Amino acid sequence: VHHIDFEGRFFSVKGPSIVPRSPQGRPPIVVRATGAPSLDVAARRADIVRVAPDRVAEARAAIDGAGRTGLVTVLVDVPASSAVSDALATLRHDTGADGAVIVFDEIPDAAASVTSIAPFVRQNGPTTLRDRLGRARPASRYVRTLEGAAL
Amino acid sequence: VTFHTQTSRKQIHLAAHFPGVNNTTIWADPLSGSQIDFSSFEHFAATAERGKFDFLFLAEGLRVREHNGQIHDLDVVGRPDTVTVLAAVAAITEHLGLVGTLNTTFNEPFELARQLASIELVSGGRTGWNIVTSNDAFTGENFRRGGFLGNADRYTRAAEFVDVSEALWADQKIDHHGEFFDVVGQLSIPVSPQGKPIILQAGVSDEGRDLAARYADAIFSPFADLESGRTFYADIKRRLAGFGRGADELKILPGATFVLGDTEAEAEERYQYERAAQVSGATALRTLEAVWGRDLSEYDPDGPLPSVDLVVENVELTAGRATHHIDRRGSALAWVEKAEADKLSIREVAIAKLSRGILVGTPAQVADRIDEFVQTEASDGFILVPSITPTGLDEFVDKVIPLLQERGSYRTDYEGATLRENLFA
Repeated sequence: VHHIDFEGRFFSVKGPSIVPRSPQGRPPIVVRATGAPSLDVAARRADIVRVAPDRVAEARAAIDGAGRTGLVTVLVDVPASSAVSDALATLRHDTGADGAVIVFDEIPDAAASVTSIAPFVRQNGPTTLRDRLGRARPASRYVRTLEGAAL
Repeated sequence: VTFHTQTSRKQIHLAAHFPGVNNTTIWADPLSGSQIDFSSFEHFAATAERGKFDFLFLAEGLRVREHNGQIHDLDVVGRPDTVTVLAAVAAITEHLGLVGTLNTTFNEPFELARQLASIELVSGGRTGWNIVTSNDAFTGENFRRGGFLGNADRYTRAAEFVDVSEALWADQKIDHHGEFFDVVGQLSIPVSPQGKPIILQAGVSDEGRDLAARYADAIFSPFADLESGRTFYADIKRRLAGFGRGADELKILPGATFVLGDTEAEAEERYQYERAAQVSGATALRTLEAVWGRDLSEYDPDGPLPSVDLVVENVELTAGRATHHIDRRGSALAWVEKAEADKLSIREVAIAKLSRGILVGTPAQVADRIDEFVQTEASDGFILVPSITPTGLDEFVDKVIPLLQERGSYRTDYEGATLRENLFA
């Protein structure tokens, strides 16, 4: 339990957090990047960035530029149409994205949706969202190391 | 045709307070479980619903408490967000009311009204809001504003906060410009089945009582003995008339804990054991330090009290708690006099001074006591906090509830679908 003593332009927060640290360390941060300012924040801060299919390369470049290569998952929007499984099958090749946010026009027929996307997702996976993204649990900023041994 | 010759008894209303910052939780007991895991809230809520309680009650603290500059680690250190827990409990219960303590000093009305309207939606109208205000700069350090409100202004802000919330809950398009808030807009969430969330209030200052008489549906009262309970009950009912409200439109529910035994002697023995387990030597010393306004860690908790001459005025050693010592020397003198009169050690006098609102006895005696409070207008029921988290309420539901039902003072099933229907059945 630690005071954070944060003082910034918009916020000042004494702390400590009232809620214990979560099983996945902290919630993954998702940013939808639509232009330079949001892409800059996304590259530096996000765990997941959502972009239009034609901006994946730009997003990757920004992430590399921020020194976070391999730490950010890039997702593109895919409409939930009858062709959703075709779109998912060629997604990585066509766009370079890591995955998709399936956007429904109406409340979906759950069974039909699951059937169409089932071949593309892991059936039994880890329990936290961060684990599913294949990311390590971030170390607490308060972890102290002794010589040779991490606590 | 059935004739009811007996006058029907006043009905008891009970709420279940999930243990939090207090001196009633027993930490060392092998049954003591997590204060944080959702499974604890799940068990506690299920037990309350099995006992047909009116509502689950959650307290809130917006900053982890400190004592003499250190985290106060002899008590609960943090807990999950109230709104989130209530929403999750809504999904696993059907009838139980869901009441959360939420602050009008550090929240904003549009945001909070929207959150409460949303729990109303997912629970089908079972939400309640225990309105609390704050004027302490200590909590404010988490909200950038510091101690931005004067003591009187916190109730003015609370009243305006509730006015804005009520207009939003009516799903009106509002154009509010007041002393504290400017809100233009509409929630666009349907009006809840119970109209709006139930409002609770716990302050007992003059302003707090008026706020309750004007807005509240129930009061979380500290007056858990018959005499002060009746005086408070009469005062609140009198104030209600001043706001054009009927005497039945506000329920008065003192907070209390309970200790049960198969015999009176067994209950008394268990009570002595539990009080000792609840108030450790370290807790007793810190309680004493809060009164004396200074470090007393060199004192033996099983020894005599320090002199009143050592009291330091105008030092608030414990930050983030609900009660503050205003007349420090007077409080210390009362402790010393109590200790001398009853020949008590530091720990024993702390136990005596911290023991308020405890129902001790056999299940029949505790049922008698609760019924006496309600039938003689000392309260409309109780908000009960057990000493073990999360299973401490089980015994009460198994042993006391059936006795209250047998005497016709307590529901055998929920009267309605919403909290309002049950609280005012």
